[in-house]
Amino acid sequence: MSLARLAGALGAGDLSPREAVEHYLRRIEAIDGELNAYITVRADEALAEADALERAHVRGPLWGVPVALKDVIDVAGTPTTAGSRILADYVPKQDAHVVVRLRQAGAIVVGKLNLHEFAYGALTTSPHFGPAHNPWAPERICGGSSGGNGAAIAADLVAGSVGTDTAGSIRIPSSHCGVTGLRPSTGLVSNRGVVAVSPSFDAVGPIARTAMDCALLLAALAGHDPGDPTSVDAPVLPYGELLGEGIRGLRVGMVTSLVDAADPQVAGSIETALGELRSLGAELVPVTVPLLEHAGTIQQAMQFQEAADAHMEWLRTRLSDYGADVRARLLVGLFLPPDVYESGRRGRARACEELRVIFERVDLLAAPTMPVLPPRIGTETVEIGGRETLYRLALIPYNSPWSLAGLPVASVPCGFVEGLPVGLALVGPRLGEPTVLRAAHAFQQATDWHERRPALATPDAGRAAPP
Amino acid sequence: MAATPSPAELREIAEKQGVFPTDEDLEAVRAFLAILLPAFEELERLVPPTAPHE
Repeated sequence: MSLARLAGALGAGDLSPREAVEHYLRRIEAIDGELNAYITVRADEALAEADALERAHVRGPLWGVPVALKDVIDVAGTPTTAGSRILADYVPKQDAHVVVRLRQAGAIVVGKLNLHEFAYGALTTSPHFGPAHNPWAPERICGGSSGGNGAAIAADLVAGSVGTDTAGSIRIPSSHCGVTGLRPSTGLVSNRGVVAVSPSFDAVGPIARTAMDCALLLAALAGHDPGDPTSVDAPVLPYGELLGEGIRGLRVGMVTSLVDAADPQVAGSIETALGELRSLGAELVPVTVPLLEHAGTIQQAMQFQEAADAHMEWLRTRLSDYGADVRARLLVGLFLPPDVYESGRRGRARACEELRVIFERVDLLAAPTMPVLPPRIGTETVEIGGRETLYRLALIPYNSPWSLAGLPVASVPCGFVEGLPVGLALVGPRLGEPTVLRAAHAFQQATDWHERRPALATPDAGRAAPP
Repeated sequence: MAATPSPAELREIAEKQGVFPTDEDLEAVRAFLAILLPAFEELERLVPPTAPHE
């Protein structure tokens, strides 16, 4: 059941918050042993919060809806491990700003989700908490860094979730797990109380079944936070109410270089999806993004140093407690010449300007979220068109350009290849979430890719009846 | 094109910052830098400090 339908059922009194929480707790108990999506399950706390909600006089738009959070987002009294040994015993005293907002909307946090250590990688194969397994093929990765989110939503282990995205960490697992994710415009959602990767690019956002679910979650999450220097003072919109206008006449720029460079089977699914957008009335135009091939370098010029700065004290005192890949990535930031960061800032300014000009001609950009299918756990390389390349390098051109400019991006399921999901990225201008979500919703009204579920997510899996 | 610093050079830079990586750590870092440093040099040429876009 989608978050939107569940919220409707709760609001109508068809089931209680306790029943909703108990349903997901049963599924987690029965299924998560195969997936390892959760690091912490807040069973007792969630049930108590559900009972308290039933006694409350005010009912928010997410009243009684169970949600789960990537384990970099603070919930008072519950560990925030960041998937690391270093924070394994850290228990925050305060809720993150987004948790405050979710609680105000009536949501119930049922647990904290697995991720790539410190949200600094795309595999979610933690040396400390074990890998998250892809529900469509458990021997394969979920992507990351919000991999637990992708697995939990795909396997119906929670109604909605919140992840983070610095260079693709919401979009990649959404694509690989066949679910819908939205990286909002940088600054639209507060980062306060969230473990940082690179503050210039970090964004908190929803991962759920549908664009409507993401819109409902975003409406709860978004809002100016004076306590977060990266937060922008933008109007909070009723995103869920802005989806119904269709996309007739919308100008969609196809980023043809990214389609052409993807695995041919993935590209085939994307081209079919673009045809669907055209049949819905969108006007498709080919677009070239000038700095595309340099976007990853530009982001890395800033990100490596910001990440090293954020971790400097632990690099000095806890270096051996990092997993090898994250340790190396963090150390790189210590060795870059001082002018690299400024080059990155200049490159970002130019890329933002070039994209601003492109968005004078189009309303949206469309591209593959990922150029490849999820690789097997333990595999570092992928093959694209007969050429072997490192997975971590292959994903960069598909994700960094939009992170770099702080743009909103949705990933929606748009097909399957060899039984594995493929995601379509819809990119909007800055603060263009309504258009991105409207297009994603229109696409999902016309297709059923987002409704397909892996075998272990069928309603009777785990012997738990649907609410 | 700048050469990738040697392990000894990297160790000196790290230790000045109070960080003490292992030999394996430094080899992993050198693999990153071998890709990154040429790309950063190209970026510097692409957007020099006096670029009119700034």
